[in-house]
Amino acid sequence: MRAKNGYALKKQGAKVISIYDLAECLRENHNTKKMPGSVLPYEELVNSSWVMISPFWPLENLVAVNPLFGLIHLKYKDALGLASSYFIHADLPPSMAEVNRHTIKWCQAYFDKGQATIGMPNRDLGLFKCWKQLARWDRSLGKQHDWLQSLSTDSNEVIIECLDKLRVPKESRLTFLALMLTTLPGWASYIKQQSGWNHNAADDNCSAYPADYLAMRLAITLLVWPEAMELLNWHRTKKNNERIQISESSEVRYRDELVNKITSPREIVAMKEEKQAQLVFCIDVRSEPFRNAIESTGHYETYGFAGFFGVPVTINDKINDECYDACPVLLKPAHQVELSPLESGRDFNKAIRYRNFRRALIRVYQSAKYAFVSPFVLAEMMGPFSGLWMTLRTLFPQIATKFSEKIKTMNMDKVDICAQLENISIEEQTQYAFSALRLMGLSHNFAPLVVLCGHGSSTQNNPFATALDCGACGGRHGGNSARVLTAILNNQSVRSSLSSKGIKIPQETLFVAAEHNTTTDEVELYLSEDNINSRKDSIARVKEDLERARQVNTSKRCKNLGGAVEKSSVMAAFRASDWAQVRPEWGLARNAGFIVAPRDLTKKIDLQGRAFLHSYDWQQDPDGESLKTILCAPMVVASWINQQYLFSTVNNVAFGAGSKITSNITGKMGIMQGNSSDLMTGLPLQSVYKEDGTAYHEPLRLLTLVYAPRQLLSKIIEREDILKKLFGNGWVNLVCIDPNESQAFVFNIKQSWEVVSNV
Amino acid sequence: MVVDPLNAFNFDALAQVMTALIVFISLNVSLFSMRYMLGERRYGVFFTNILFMSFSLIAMVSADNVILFVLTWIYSNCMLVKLMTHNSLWKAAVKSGNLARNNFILGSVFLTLAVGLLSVAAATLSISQILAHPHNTVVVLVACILLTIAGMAQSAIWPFHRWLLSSLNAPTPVSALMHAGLVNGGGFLILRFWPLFSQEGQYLLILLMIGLFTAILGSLLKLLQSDIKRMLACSTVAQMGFMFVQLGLGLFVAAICHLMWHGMFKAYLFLSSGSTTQTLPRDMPYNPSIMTFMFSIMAGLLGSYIFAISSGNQWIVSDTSMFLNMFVFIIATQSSLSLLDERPLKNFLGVILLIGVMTAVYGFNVLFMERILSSLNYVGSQPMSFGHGIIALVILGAWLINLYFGVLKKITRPVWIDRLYVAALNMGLPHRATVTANRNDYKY
Repeated sequence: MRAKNGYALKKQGAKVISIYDLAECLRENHNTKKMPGSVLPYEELVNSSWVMISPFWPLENLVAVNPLFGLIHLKYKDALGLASSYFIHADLPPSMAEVNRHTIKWCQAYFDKGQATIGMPNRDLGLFKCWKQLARWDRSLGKQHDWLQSLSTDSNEVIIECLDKLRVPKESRLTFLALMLTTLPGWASYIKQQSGWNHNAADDNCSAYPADYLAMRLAITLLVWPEAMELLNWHRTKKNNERIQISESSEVRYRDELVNKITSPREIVAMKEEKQAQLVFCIDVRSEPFRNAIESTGHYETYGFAGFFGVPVTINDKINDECYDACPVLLKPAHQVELSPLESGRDFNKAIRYRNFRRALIRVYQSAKYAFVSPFVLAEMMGPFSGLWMTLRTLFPQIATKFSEKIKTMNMDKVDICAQLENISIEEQTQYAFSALRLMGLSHNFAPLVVLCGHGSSTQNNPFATALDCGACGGRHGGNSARVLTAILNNQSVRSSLSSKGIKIPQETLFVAAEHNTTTDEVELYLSEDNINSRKDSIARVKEDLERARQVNTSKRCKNLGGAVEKSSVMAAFRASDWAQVRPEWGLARNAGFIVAPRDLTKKIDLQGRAFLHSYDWQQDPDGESLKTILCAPMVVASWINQQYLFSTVNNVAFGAGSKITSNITGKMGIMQGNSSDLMTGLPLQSVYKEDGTAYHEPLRLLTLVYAPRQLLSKIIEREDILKKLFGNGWVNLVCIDPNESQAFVFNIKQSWEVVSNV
Repeated sequence: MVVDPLNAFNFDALAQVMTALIVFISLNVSLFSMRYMLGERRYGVFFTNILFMSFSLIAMVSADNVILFVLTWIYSNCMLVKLMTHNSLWKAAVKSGNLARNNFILGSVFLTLAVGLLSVAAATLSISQILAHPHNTVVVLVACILLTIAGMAQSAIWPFHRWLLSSLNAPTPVSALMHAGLVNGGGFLILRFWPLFSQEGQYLLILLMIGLFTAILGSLLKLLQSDIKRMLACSTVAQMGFMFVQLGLGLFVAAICHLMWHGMFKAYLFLSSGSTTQTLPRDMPYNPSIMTFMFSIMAGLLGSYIFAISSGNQWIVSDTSMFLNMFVFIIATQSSLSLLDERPLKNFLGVILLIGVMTAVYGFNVLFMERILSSLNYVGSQPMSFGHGIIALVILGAWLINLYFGVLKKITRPVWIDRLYVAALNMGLPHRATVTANRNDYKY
């Protein structure tokens, strides 16, 4: 149909060329074998060229992504080879660097989210048209005015025109387009996120970004470097410098140690007394040591579950006046939940009035700062105060932070918050409650108090703050998600429907939401006055034990962060409030394992905060439905986190964000290094390195350990494509401890089971 | 000519104020960096460099001997370049350093020529004696021009602003130190030789115009920037321009105030530049209604009146200190606009109160600095001339054009705006060699 353009779709046999096949083409080309003679239609060509690019979420909610997740259909080693050849290059041709400079300039201006007061004109036209209108006047692009004027507004047509003019041979066009993206991968990643992963896209322009961006980049290339065809030669002949290395022997060592720890017999004292409470934590690796700590203080049972507690919602927070998706980015929120004050009493109204007043002052400041003439006097007016404030923040960060928090939340912290569930029907609520309880294996033996504990971090002056928050909540704090499930489970009609489905929650059981601050290890219980009055004693005891657990855990973490052990909790609070702190906490660094098993299997074992723990009881899951869900959702998220930490460690320049010390926030959404650079995706140096030369994170691929029958596991892997790829291609290592044989098996490259030789 | 070490220094009020600023900023930035830079490969060297630079700066601001003055000037700048290239593995950072170095060499050459000329003319190496010496007007004029060029290079005044816009490959604390410290060197230089400048009333007008152009250009570039650090750098260019405006008006106390307070403000903004994502979206009071504008002007006039009284001055004066009242009027009006654009009548009382407090505090601040610096016995404000009137109109015009830009956009052709935008965007770019165009060229 498009034969006249010469881009007819040629099928290789009956096989329709898919995105994944493309990468194989890329790989073959990389091996300088002959390209398969396929020529793609150009829309598909454009789409396919983006396969190597992973999305990058903006700083307001950083989400960990496997930087190579487009390549998971390849064997891990092959993917590493491909990635090294495309992303790691010390010798970019100078003309291509010039193309990059132009691209960065325009991307910075176009994708600005509110830094510039005078924004780029005509942005509502979409990326390419907007650029074309302005670039006409850009003298630094050479004598381009007439050509740009005459250029089509259809970006696909422009792509073809430019490729023709650059004389890129048809069979190399895919590689050429891919190189256009991978020579400036960070900005491409942001564009990919905006176009494909942005549920709340503000306008329709976003979906056109991939083609628009390529059109703009090719047009710049044609103007700046008409001989850009050279790029293909450069890529083919460049010495493959640095190859990404990972240590398989360390992985085997970790695996053997873990299996050994779990299978070695040890004494687990059955609880004599009645349980004081059950606490459900996020699967995040930072929960594991804290769970150990709280269990050591009394009769507590803990569970691990994805931190959004299984309810995919958009939180509309009336208290803090913000609205965000509180679920993993792989899901689309199904409902909106409003958080509002329990009774809109005087406190709340006072707080709102105060907030409006504070905002008015900020508005005065901003309107004086971002105008002509007035900033000159403003600087003199603010000078003495900023000098004092700077000194206070540097010398006494805790006082300064407490003070500014107080100002920010004045009166708001007294307000009891309630999650409004009108948008979720009772049936849906019951369904969410049922599957959550089943999945975490908490369907009987309820304690009188069940705490659902989300998590979040607290850091100052940290552009990467949200990278330390809950990944399951899309890079946000998890406390509000806990509030939602708590409200569902405390609802009497939900409970009666649940009991008809076989889960009987006793009348006296109370669910309470909470949030674990992973920087300070404080746990804040979200209690209403009724709650406090009805359970005074038990709540007081839980609070006391949580405080003890905090001491235990901070002193343990202290060894890795530095500081005196006896003052560890003070040190942790200090780090959380210090504006000069670049390593407030270690986040998920050193993560290595994902354990799907009942808590008894891992109890009393020190897993060193390296494992994601997902509660699972195979006996309650005969058909493997729950296990399938766990492996396909939370485990995939965990593997993304794992690969992000791994790649940020092995090459912090190509896959990480570089040092915080020279980073520069652009457009309020991303990081550049220094004056300007590619958008730096991934984790900053300080998140994975102790010192410039010494890594803290150990780059190991995720080891998933499942306590379930082997046959069940094999059946699930067989059925699920994503698991076949992750386990079969070696992106995640898999070990199964079969309860029937009480022996550990490893899933090998031949996709069969092999006994782990016990050390 | 033998240098007597005791007479090599002159710790006058200017030197005292500058030393206080240097100590304050260096201590603050060093304490901040002790945590911020932890884990850096060259952690120790960083603090040694700051220490040497600070001592050298203190010696410079209190030097009376011209040789000492020039040497410490050069040495401080060398130390600054070293700090800027702290990360010497990163090519772009080294290029930034080179750019700054070349600029400083140029400045130092002009400085050396100026003080050389003055020393020969007055046959002394002492700055205070040079200033006391009755020079002939040609010497004074030539020296002023040379000193101005040296100062412009140091303070990133147009056309020497490029190095500052390209300096952000430096670690954040170095930017903080630089923008609160050595960038102000140009202003300090003119202040140090103020008695010469204040003899040349006509020459000051040239200073004023250079400053005004830079202030307007810097403001425009600042509003266009989409990354935080370059926005702050452009803002510094504008603020340095403003400092030259104040000097050109003869308002040397105001210039010293500005140098100090802007330094602290900018140091703070750099150190807290990691918080940018948490700041609220901006909501600017553009295109206010006539009613809002009238009320705001009333508040603005009141504000400038309160300022004049509390700074121990009169509201309507016939010399250039009238400009200070005008600047306060502009900021007070601008602030009121943002509060009055919804319910002008209801909020008016609150606005008056806020403006009153703001301007009074600022007025007392100026009064206080005037007292401290009174021992300098410098000649201050100049009589108003026709030129000053024009300049006042330009300043008010720039402010109003920005305020009513939306209206302008409607009546002019957008193409014209597009062209201006692209030209300004290119003008605000860092030097191309200092951009990390290949991600893999970045090194930590």
